[in-house]
Amino acid sequence: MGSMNKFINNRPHKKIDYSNYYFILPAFLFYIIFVLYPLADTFYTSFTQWSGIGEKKWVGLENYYNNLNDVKIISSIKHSFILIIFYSFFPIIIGLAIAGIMVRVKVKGIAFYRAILFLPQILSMIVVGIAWRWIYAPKGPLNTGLDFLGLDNWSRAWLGSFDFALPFVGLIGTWVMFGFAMILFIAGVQKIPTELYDAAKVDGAGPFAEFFNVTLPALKGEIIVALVFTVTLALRNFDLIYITTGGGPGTSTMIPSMFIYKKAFQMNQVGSASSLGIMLTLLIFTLISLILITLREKK
Amino acid sequence: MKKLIIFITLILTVFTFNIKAETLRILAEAGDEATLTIAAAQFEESNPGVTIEASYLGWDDFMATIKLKLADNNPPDLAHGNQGFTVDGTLIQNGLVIPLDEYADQYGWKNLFAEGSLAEFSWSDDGSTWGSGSLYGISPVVEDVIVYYNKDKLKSLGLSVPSNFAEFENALSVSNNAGELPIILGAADGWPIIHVWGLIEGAFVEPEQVRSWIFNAKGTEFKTSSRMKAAKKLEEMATAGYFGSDSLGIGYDDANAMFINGDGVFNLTGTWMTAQLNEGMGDNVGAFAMPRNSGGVAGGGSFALPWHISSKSSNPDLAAKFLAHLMSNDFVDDLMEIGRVPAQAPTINPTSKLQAEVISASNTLVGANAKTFYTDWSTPGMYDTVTQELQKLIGGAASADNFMDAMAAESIK
Amino acid sequence: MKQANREKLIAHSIFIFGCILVLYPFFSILFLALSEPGTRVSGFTIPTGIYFDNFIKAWSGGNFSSGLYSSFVVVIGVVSITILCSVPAAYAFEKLDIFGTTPLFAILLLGLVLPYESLIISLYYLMRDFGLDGTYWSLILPQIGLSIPFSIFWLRSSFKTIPISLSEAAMLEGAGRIVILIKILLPQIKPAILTLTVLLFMWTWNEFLLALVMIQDADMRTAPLALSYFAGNKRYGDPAITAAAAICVALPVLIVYVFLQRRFISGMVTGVDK
Repeated sequence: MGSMNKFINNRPHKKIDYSNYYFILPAFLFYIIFVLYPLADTFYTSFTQWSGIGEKKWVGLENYYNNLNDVKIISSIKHSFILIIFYSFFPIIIGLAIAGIMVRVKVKGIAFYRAILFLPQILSMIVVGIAWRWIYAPKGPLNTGLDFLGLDNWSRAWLGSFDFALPFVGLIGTWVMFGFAMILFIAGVQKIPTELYDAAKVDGAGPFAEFFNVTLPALKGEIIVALVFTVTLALRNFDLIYITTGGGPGTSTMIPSMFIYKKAFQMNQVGSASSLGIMLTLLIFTLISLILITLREKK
Repeated sequence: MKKLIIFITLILTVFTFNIKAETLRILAEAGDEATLTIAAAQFEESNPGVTIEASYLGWDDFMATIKLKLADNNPPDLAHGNQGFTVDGTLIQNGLVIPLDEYADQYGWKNLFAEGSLAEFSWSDDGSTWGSGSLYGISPVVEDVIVYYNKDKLKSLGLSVPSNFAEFENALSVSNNAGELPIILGAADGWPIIHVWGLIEGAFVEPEQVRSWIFNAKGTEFKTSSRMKAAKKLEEMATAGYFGSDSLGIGYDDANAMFINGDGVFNLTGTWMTAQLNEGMGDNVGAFAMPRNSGGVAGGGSFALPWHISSKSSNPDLAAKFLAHLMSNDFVDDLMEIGRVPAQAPTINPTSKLQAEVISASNTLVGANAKTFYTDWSTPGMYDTVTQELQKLIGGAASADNFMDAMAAESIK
Repeated sequence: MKQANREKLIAHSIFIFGCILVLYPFFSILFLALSEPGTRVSGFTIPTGIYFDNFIKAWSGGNFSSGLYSSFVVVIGVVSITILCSVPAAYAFEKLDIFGTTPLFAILLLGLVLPYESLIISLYYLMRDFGLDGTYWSLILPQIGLSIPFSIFWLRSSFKTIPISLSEAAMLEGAGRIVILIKILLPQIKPAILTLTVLLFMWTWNEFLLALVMIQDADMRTAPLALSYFAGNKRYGDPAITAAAAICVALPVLIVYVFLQRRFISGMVTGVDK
């Protein structure tokens, strides 16, 4: 990685210059104290029972065992996977479909569209949540719209429904992410050499074959990026749940990060909360590794 | 650049050590804003040089952060807690609040009330047992969960104020059949359902039994047959549509606003709503204590949220002095005037018809020794469990049996 | 040619449809916030007049002036210190000889995907041990740590684009590492630093969970935290007032976005791309 550009070690017989490390020292100090140490500390705490004061009592894998046997925690992980569909798959499918359509169209004013489509990315999830809470409210725009269309019996308290709260929170994620995926993929498509498409045409490929044989493979890098980015967000996601549903109704929109907060700061089960934090971290690492391994291999 | 950084560092340092001497910092649940505004003005006037800085949190944020707020390096001097293991127990276990016995003796708080009535504020000093021990909190206000009703609606439905639970049920069914929403409920917030549950539970389970379970959930059977009946009744009411179809999408305050605007025949909530309902509905709103299945009345209720003095307060004496003002005889009438129910007998008459009915309902509950407190006090995790499980029960996502199982499991945790 | 025109029409329609979807929630709460207090807004009508009453109520009720101030203090702290630390580190990784670059860099990359929701507990107790909980430092320091992986990553790839010949020439003239960094390389990566500043500003401004846990004093709340408490205090439960408050909190980022939107987009798209 970039060693070609190094100039100081180009000279022969150079000893390691330890003073170079001063350059990375401040950054690493911050990183070690505020990221790596807390990670290690959380890992240690996850094997203990601790209420936040006094001694941590070593309990081995008990917290993990209890988490895996807690119906509410298992269902919160399931909710996270459902949210991945909304945060990740929908935006990526929308983005890819649109990128496929726009393969050779040069649209004027794309910078303007891009600026608007990107907008949801820059906002605080608290602001986004407040806007959507209003849209989904019993007398909010969505229900008013349904009433207007004569679909009165469809209108309901969306975020108060056991059946609809989770998918409708998920749709907020789709809204936040789809513009990002579109921009990413359209930018990617424009980098594909037109000769590839011409060649495909000569071979008699229709639009679908063209999409699957040319566009999709060429966008692999962008797809990996979009997957990693959106999946991570879907699994974390504390702010949006906190402001829209708080995990309810019942526990129908509860997610692991919400449980971490509740256990650690409301119920004084710091050890158990830590173990859930480690589980969440491992889950994210595993999924990202899976994405990277499966997509990178298929060259 | 360097200068800028030094400048920023300086600014930050100044803000880090921003300590004020004669300021009393108070953190209260938002419902107490009216009370504190009056009390603070009076106190500042009689104690020159003292400034009161009060901040308020909505109930959900209050419950989510109160422990963090009191564990802060610079916590408020005086703050609300909540009775029971969910909040107060952990505050005491963590040494975040101090016992008030000395102040109680100094200002005579214990003589104000009947023997034993301060049990809900009393804890062992390690915070492990509740119901006796040192006094950790105090409140000048009582709050009971009772039934408010829309007088016009009740009349036009040809109903009168129910005198037993069967009549209450009949009133619900008549309202429902007439196309009226029987009970307005803001179930989106979860906790308002605790109040409804408390009334239904109280209608079937002996109040004495409810209280002993709350004080000692681990050692008391939750799944009794009478409580099972209550859970089945609540399920039945939800299935019959007595709470409407959207209650889980309606917040507590929206529900009350809707009640004021004519939605719902009954509103099962606490006496803290009296002033607001009176202002919105005038003579069209009445109140009564929930009649029990086997006669008498019952209702969730207790003192209002307890005031605690932070163990890190630099001026606990001043905080106690302010508490003494809230608890004083002089302040009782002020509480009456803003529509609350003082814990001590007031010298003035009720300021509205509704307040008179509320106070009478409250007195009936006291007379019958029928206050059932609140379910969520019972264990550290109960607030979450009971709100979630009741939402499921109301929303049809769980049966009465599921509810009882989940609650019984939580109470022995 | 007709074919091409039709394609363009389809493309424009798709873009416009997407933009409407994106903008609808914005205008929905903007109209709600500007509506006449007490009127019922359906979300489908354009307001008949502009009323700022909701903004006034929100501003005075939610203590947003101190919220915005707190957020600015935190943003300035995080952005300045992160960049001051990341520039030399990225420079060293790319241009100097650091034994163990690959493992060190790999450890940093870990931080790019680490959910800080998992670290929050430990960070909270760490800050308490330092006696810093409840101060702006409790927000600034952890966010520097969390921002450093992306910053170094981003700056390193910018350093990579600078040809070695530039710095080699200076080397021959006897310039030291620091001089080369400041005099020769820094001017070259100014745009990259500006983009990074914008991104860090946005992420720091929008941060919520750390503030929820660390900041308990009402006067020190950051803007998103103040907004969340404000929306949760039902005395101001009118959705129009909450909407006005939400707009106040979003405005600073929106203003920066209007002027520097290219930096946001290129930063996010190419940044995660790299």
